[in-house]
Amino acid sequence: MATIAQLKGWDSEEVFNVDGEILNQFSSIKELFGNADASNSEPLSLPNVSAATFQKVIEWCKHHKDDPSLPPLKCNKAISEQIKDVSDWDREFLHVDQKTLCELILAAGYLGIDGLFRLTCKTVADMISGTTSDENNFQH
Amino acid sequence: MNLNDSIPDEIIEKIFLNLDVKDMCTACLVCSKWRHLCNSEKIWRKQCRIKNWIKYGYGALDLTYLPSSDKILSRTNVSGTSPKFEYNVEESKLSPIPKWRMIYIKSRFLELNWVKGHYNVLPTLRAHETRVSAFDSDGMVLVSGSTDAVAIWDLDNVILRYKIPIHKDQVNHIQLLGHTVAISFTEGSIKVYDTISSRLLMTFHARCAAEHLRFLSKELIVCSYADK
Repeated sequence: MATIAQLKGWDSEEVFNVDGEILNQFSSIKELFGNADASNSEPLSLPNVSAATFQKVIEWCKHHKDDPSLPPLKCNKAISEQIKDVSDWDREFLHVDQKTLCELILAAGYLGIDGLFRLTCKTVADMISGTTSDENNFQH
Repeated sequence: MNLNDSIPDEIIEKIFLNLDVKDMCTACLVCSKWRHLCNSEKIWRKQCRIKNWIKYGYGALDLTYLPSSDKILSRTNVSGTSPKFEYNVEESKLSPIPKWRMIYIKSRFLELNWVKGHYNVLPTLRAHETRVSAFDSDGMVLVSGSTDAVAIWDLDNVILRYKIPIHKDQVNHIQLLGHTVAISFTEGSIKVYDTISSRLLMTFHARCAAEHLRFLSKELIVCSYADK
């Protein structure tokens, strides 16, 4: 699929060519591009996303590009019940240090990738759950 | 890496929405900022919704009211434990407990009392000769109806306040709101009584019996099978 957007992280000049399938998952910025040919325009710099994180985000989006769109969360059920099965691939993907995980949450929130956002939030919640307040190492 | 510095509050709130209540209480203990974030109305409203306790937030049940009369407690308390709810918040600089969290705490308290058997059983109420066909209660007053009479009970003192005889008719439905009770009869009439004085306030007549009644602010909504 043709490149329709050129994006880069805030911390490097490395340019990522993003095709339509992936751009469609970035619900908060996809409207910026439309159908215009982006090959000769300036690459857009993402202020909140580093190049390394963006690389991870694209990796996730490529793997999940064929996922059906997510059902809206029901308000009368616990969220943990609604996102039950995290696939092995996702678990392996999110097996990262806390710094990277925090950056992924921020990037997913900023780019509007609902699936990744829910997944990362749940991962952090799972890390909090079952610990005592002293063990909670997000603080220390 | 510190979660607090790098992640905005809205996203921490989203993460907390994934937690169950036990973990949320642990998270409250971590630091004052987390305590503040855990005290979000949105989170506790959601937890109330999961438990189906939203109704307790809209005055359907007054959770602060529990029978106070000591003689009834001593006569009827099966477990020997008082189900009184007491929660004293100490003066502190921390943010106060929000409304929906308080509702959750109280509802959970009631639920635990129920599960553990910490409740009072009132003596059996007997006033009707025939089968009771409808009743309604707000915890302080109970109104029951059968084919022979309508009885208004004072649950605080467990006494029969009034017995209103009825003739050749049967109570179909009872709806209580404050000091007013609306009673529908199978013959089609709807009578509205005052539960304090037992005075008949209003009578409506319809072609067929009202199956369901509901007070909505100052109006009374009536539902029936129109084709009868």
